[in-house]
Formats: sequence, structure tokens, C-alpha cells
Amino acid sequence: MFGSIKKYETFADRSNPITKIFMAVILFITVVFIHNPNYLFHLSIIMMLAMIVLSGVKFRYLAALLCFILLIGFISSLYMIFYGEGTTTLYRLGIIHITEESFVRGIHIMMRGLVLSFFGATVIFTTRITDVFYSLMQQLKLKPKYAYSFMAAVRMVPIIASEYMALRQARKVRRALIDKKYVSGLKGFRTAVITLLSQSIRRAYRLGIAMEAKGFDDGPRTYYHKTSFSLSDVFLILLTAACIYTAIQLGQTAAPFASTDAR
Amino acid sequence: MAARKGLTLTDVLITVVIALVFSIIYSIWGGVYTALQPFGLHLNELVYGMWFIAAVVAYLIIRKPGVAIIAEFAAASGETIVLLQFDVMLMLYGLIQGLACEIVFAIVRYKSTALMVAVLAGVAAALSTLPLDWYYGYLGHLETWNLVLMVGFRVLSGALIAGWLAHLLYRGLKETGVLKLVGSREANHSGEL
Amino acid sequence: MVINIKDLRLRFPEEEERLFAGLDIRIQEGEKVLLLGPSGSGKSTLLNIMGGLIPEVIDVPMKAETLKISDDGAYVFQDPDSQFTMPTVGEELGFVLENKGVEKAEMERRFPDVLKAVGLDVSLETGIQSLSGGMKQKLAIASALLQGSDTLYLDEPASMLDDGSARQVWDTVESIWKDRTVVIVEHRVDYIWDKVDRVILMDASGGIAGDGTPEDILTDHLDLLEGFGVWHPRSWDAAPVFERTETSEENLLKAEGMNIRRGKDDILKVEDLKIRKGEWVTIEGANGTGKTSLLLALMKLIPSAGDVYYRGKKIRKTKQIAGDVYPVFQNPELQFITNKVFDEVFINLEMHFDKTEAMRQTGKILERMGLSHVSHLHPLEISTGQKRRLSVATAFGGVPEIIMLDEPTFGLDQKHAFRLLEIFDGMTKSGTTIVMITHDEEIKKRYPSRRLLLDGGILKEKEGMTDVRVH
Repeated sequence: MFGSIKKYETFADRSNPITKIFMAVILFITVVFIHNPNYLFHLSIIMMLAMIVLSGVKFRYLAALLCFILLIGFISSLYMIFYGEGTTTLYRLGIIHITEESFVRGIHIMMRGLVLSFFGATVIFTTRITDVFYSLMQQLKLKPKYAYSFMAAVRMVPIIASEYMALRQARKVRRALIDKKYVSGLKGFRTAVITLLSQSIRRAYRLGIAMEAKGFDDGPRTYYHKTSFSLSDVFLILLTAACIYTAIQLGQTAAPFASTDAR
Repeated sequence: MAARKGLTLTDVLITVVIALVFSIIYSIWGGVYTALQPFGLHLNELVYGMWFIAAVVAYLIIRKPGVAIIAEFAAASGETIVLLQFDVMLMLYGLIQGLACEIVFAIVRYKSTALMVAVLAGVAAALSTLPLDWYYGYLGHLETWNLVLMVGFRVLSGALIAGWLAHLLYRGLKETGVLKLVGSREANHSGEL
Repeated sequence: MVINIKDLRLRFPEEEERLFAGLDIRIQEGEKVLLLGPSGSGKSTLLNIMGGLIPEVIDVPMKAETLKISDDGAYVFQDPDSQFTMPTVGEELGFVLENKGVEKAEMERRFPDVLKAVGLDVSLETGIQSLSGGMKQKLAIASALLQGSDTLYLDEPASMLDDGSARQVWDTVESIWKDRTVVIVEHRVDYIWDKVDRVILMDASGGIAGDGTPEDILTDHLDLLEGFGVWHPRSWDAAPVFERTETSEENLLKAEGMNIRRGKDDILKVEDLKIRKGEWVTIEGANGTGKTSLLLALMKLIPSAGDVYYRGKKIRKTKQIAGDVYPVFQNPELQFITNKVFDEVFINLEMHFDKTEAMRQTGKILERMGLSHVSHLHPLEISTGQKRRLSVATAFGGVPEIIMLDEPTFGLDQKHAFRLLEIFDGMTKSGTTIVMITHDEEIKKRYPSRRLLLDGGILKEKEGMTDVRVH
């Protein structure tokens, strides 16, 4: 999928998707329980480096992604920076009240997002979507009915997207001949979504029949792609653990924030 | 001939495809949400309800146990695929919001398609992730007026978008005749041959 | 005998009338059978019963006195986009064998043979999305072969393809059908008519009106074929003939130095194109040559280098030209915006007339397009052919100067295709210009006043005429 922008592959590409998802969950729980912004500061930098090295993606694409993640992360922390509780006022304008505490807390929330985004990007760049479902079926015994529905539906995403584009073009032309009220606002949104949904439901229905006509049932089956756990998974687990450990160690020695508890 | 019980392959396929249509909408909606964030006044919460609409629409169409959870989880994973951003938090939230809807639908025994049921599911989904947000986003440390504003907006949005708008879409879809393909199977076997 | 069905009764739950009320049908081993009939005659339904999809997968109440069917038969369906499960060629073929419990090593041994059998020369890693329509259908045939069945059910496998690809698909079908029983539903029959052993002609009420060799059907039942309005090898003998009128010299639409790109590739260059009042122009060219893109670029719906002029005025935005030049796109569904067939036409007319007059005219247009009986239905609910006619009907209300149509006769039966051609003729005579993309050789040969060809990335005049820029 990313063949054109990738330069090399690492053990991250070879490890089982389930391990990656599991590690992402561990990481999520970890950042929710970290209240020391110094730990998070180092963890987000380490995760950024991990993404750059492990994803194997050309740097200019990573740089663009990096900017995007940072911007979104910052914006989503503004509510806390502006309106969080605190005693040491830094700035006040109307209802906006930035305090030292709320500022650190806002940045802390932003860093939580960064850690998860960086790891998430690494997962995306090193995983084929079909492999996720193949390993869910083989290692976690997910019913084929669900796995194949997902894989088949994913195939439809580009079709739905191009239908949406065509629908917009068609409306642009019809607009000229009719009252605008039919294609604007809620009415326009509603009919557009209904058309897309109805087309997709029809297609899904036909696909379901085609799949059963090809002999699909929910019982035991063989697999074209075999997935398993390997040494690569051990590497990934060790690496994630090492990242968290290092971040906490560094956070105790090199502390950019004066506060050790964002709460 | 025995009518098939539980979710059939076609049920699951239709659920997931509906979810993916919405995941495209979610992805576009994400831009609206982010654009409203800088004000910090939680205006973004007013559009938050869009994120549970998939569960409600899918339920209204198929009305079987499990559909709401699958739809919401699929829509969240779909967003991952459309935006190329794997986000555990998003998927976890999807799961919880789907579960909240599912509980409401279970209470009405997967029978009712009333507007009120849709609205209740929307509100339930809106409230369902508050505990997680509390820890993750330190909501306890917001000024009280600001917190009330946020919760109020969110519930309103859940009721309006995930409830009322979802129901509007369902009624529109019914008019297109496409729901005959997913209609309840018992109804198929009445009348003389 | 492979199939023996006696006294078949079936009624769709939402319908008043039974589709089949006592149908008998038998098919012998190794027979190649074509099912033919007007829309609504139940051809596809019958195909689904023969293969056991009804009632196993599609739950429709039915019964029969005798029901001997070949339910391990393999299907090829019409729409390439809704019959594949997996993203790549290898995974899709793998899916079929996974269902049968075949081990991976054995799968890989069987893939090359089956790809060769259908003449599909692509690697297993190729994304299905990147295949052309014809290649996708060949892949569908390959999947069907892997199922190892002796019976093949083909449900309009070539109806969404252009002529060239359709011919290739039928050649492929013919190359693999020896020793197999093949039942075909198809409405574009020119390539297969002489190749099948037997044609079964069904009538509009789900009965069998004729059954025999292709020659017999053509000699004995020509009146029925014409009456049902289905395509048959002699269809064009009865095609409408129009008097050619002089087109005026008045230039309406002009494009200069146009260059359409997709990503980094040039797909089409148009030096100088002029469309005059009252012309009937066809745009021809193989799939993927950029015909639809040209239409979109002229409407300023996609970016392109160069200039477009309408009545001498330079056009920068769709807004400036929409209404005067009206395109009818390929997917009719995506153009509908109301929830009633009637309203779809009415909303155009209400801009020009008072309500009573607008309603009267809407009724007239629907009548002319053969849509009166469905005017109360939702536009997404009607049949494919009706949708296409409705999408053309939406062009009439605003009385545009130029109507640009992307394959307007695609998927229509003979009756409605001819009706549409008559309407187009009437429009050009009253001064409206018709520009249409078409793959149909007969239409290209018979009707246009001028033919344009897209070939090798440039737009040319066809038939001895010189390059477009001479005009």
C-alpha cells in the first residue's frame, strides 16, 4: 500500500498486527496513568524517533505528517490551556484565563496525543490491512464472517469516495436549472447521504450474494496468507517497554517542566 | 425453510458498509470539529454527535443484536483507514459508544424504530465516554461553567445529530426502497404462493 | 439432465402478482442456453433458482413440484465492483479456494493455470482496483473455474463493458465452456447469439414464450422479440431512420489548447474543438481514452489547461455554463436529488412555468420517456433502464442549448433505445445540439452529423474528415 513512499522494511513490518494493536493499547493505558509531564516529554520524543526509524517512510512524507500531528495536537489542548483551573495567572483576556497550571496541563494532554499518534503512524506504515484480519482470524479466532465483511467493505471505500465526487459534480450542474433549496443545507446533505447509503447497501447486498455463491460459509477454512507470532513480535514488545522505561528514567534527570504532576 | 437466526453475512456486510460511508463523513467532519476547537468554548462538542450516527442508522435498518457495536467500531476503524491514522483511542471510544447505543436498543428488544429510541441512544452514546475523557483530558480541572457547557453541548449534539438526524436519514432510506433488501425475514413468508 | 424444474411458483413478498405461476424448464448436460426476455420477466430470478441461491441465500418464498438443480454451479455477475471480496488478484482467487479448504501450496499450483485459461496476464499481487472492467470479468470467470463446477451461470457478465472488452469476455467464455453446462442471461446478444445451442424467450409475466435454436427463434418469433423490445441480431433492421438536416454555422461551444492531465500524465489534448448549433456529435474512443474527462473539462468540473468559450464568452466556472450546456452523466443515481420520479423533472420546469403548466409538461415528458407508470416512485427504486431514461429526462426541463450525454443508451433495451434516438433527432431538428459519448457501432454509423475520435491522447475528426482545427 505504501510501496511508493517506503525505503526499507524492519522487524516492525514483520511483527504480527495483533502485537502492534496490543502494544498500542498498553501505550494508551500507560499515558493515561502518567501524570508527570517530564516523563511524557521524553516519551513523545522517543516515539517520534521510533516512528522515523521504524516506519521506513521517506523523510519528506514523515515531515509533513509530523507538522500535521503537532498542529492537531496543539489545537486539541487549547480548551484546557484557556479554561483550565489554576492559581498562577499568566494571561487573561475576557473569558480566556491562562494559568501556569492549566498551561502545563494542556501541554500534557497534547503530549499524550502525540505519543499515541506517533505510534499509530508507525503501525499504519508497517501493516497491511488484510493481514490485520487474517491474523485476527488465525490467532484470535475471529469469525470469518466478520473478517471478510470488513475486508470486502474496505475495498469499497475508494468506490464510495469516487461516487461522492461524481455526485458533487452532478449537483453542480443541476443546480443551475433548479431552485437552490433542493441542493443546499440540511436538505442537500440529507439527499446526498441517502443516495450514497442506498447505493452502498445495494452493492453490499449483491456482494453478500456473490460471496455465498463462491462457497463462503462461516465454518472452518484454510488461509491464503498464514500469519503467526515470531521473534519480531518479541522485539517489538521489548522495544516498547524500553521506550517507556527510558522515558521515565530521563524524565527524572532531565526535567524541562518544573511541575511533576499535571493535575 | 428456517429463517436464519442471528446476523447473516449480508447483515454484517451491510452494517460495515454503512459504517464505512459514515467513516468518510466522519473524516470530513473531523475538519469541522478541529476548526471549532481553537475557541476552546467547546463549540466542537456541538458536532460531536456525528460520531455515533453510524450505530443508530445501522440499528434502525437491521434491528438485530450486535449491529450497533459492529457499526460504531467499524466506522471508527474506517476512519483509521480513510485518514491513514491508527488511533487506539478512537477505536476504544467507538466501541464504548456503540455499546451504549446497544444497551438502549436491547432495552426496547431490537423492535422499535421510534424517534425517541434513536434520540435516547444518541444521548447514551454522548454520555458514555465522559468517564474516559475525565481521566484523559483532566476534565475535573476545568472551570465549572466550562465543564457544564461541554457536557450540555455534547448531550444536545448526541440527541440532535445521532438521534434526530439519524432517524431522518433512516426515513429517507426507507423511501428509496433499498431497505426491502434487508427487511425482516419473517415478513417474507406470508401469503399464498 | 442437469436442471429439471416443474411447476415453479414464486412471489416476491412486496409484489401483488406472482412472478412464476407454474413454470417448467429443463436443461440438458452440456447445453449452452441463453435466457432472453423483457425487463421484469424474471430471467435473473430464474438463474438464481437454478443455482440454488434462491431460496438458500436470497430468501424468497417459492415452491415447485420437481426441483432438480445444479446448486454447486458457479456464477459470474454483472457488476465487477460488487463481486470481489479481496484487494488483490491472488487473495481473491485464494478466497475461493479457502472456502473449499484447499491448502496454500495447492492454491499456488492452481492459480497460474486458471489465469492462463482466461487469458489474464497479471501478477498475483496486482490490485483488482487497477484492472479494467474486462479484466475484472475475466478474473470473475477465473474464480468460477476454480470452484470446479460443471455448470456456469452468467448473469449479464458483459453488460457493463464496452464492445471490445465484451467481445473478449465472450471469447473467454467460449474458450472454457466445452464440457460445461452454461446458462446465460444477457441483453446484448450479438456475439453469443450464434454460439449458444438454445434460446429461451421469456415473456413479461414470467412464462416461456419461445424455446428453440437461435435460428428458429429468429425466424419463428421475430414478432415476439420486437414486441418485447429486446435486442436481437436483426434489431437494427427496424431502427428508426432520420432525415439529415443542415446544421447551422453558428458556433456555440469552443475549446482551445485544452490539455487534460491525470496526476502527472497527459491524458488528452484538444487543439481546437467547435460545437455548432443543431449538430449531433458522437465522441468515440476505447475505454480510458478520456471521453468522460473531456466532458467534465468542457463543463469546468475538472481542471484543464486551455480555454473554453460559450457563445464567444470565456468560461472560468461551471456556474457560467451550466444550464446552457447540460451534461447527463453515466451514473444516473448520482444525479437525482428528490424523492419522486415526478419531482425530478418537475423541479426543472417550475422555474419556467406556473405550477399547473409545469405539472402538465412534466407529465408529457414522463409519458414520452415511458415513465408515467412509475412517476410516484422514488428515483432510486426504479429499474436501471428507467433510471437512465429519467436522468436524460432531467435535461429536457431547462431547455438547454447543448445536451452532452455519457452513454445514454447503455443498458437500455431495444425499444427504449430507439425511442431515445427519436427524441434526440427531434431535439436536433428544433435546434438543440446533441453531443454524446457512445460505444455502439450502429449508433455511430447511423445517426451523428459529425464524429469525433479520441485516439492516442488527441481529439480527431473521424471518417475522412481532417483534423478538428480545420473548421
